[in-house]
Amino acid sequence: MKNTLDNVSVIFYTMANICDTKSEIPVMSIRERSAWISLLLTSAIWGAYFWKIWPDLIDDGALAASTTGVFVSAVVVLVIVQIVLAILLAIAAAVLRRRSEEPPMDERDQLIDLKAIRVAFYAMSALLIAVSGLWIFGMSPLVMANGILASMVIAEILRAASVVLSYRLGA
Amino acid sequence: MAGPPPIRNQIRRLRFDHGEMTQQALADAIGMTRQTIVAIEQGKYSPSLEAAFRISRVFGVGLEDVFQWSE
Repeated sequence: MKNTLDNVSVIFYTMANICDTKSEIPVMSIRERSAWISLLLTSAIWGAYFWKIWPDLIDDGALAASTTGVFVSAVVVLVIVQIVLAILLAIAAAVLRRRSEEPPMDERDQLIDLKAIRVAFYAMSALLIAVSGLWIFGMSPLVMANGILASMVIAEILRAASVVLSYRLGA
Repeated sequence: MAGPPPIRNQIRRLRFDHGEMTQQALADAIGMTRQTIVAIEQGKYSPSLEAAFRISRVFGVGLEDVFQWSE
């Protein structure tokens, strides 16, 4: 009798495991969605900017002559656009969180954030040292300013990518 | 990159034994997200000692009934 009950228990347990598809495909959390959006937004906005300005960056003289005003206004506009979008996303995330009653950050979320910030910190430190080396080659302040901007953008992309990767890998 | 630590857990079995408790219910009981419970259950994330105790207390069992170190 006991053996029969044990066997039934094992069958139910196995069936429950098979049917529990939710555990295999976890729902993407709001924090992971935010990281995805930040990754795509930053890549798209600043990617387009550097794609546009890259030919002039190689030719230092052309950049200085033609794009000083464009650079300043483009950076200001892009920063404002990103801030506005970030605020809208934060509001949307807050509304979604309230609707789904997602709890505040737990220890794993905090760990993922800290790891991502560490990645971004090391990347930005290395890139800023490399950019400061451009001074030796007599690069203009405008090129260096773009280099600093690129360092910050790459660091942010790496941070968001690290967050996404950590959530995807489950770590 | 270091692999996951050799820690097994019985959370899936314990949830089953507790009236097929959902991952969300367990997550709510210990103040974590469902995604974290999924990661713990699949052995991809090792919880802190505090979280491990919280999980074992939800099921009313000892820590080593939930987590085992497998060499």
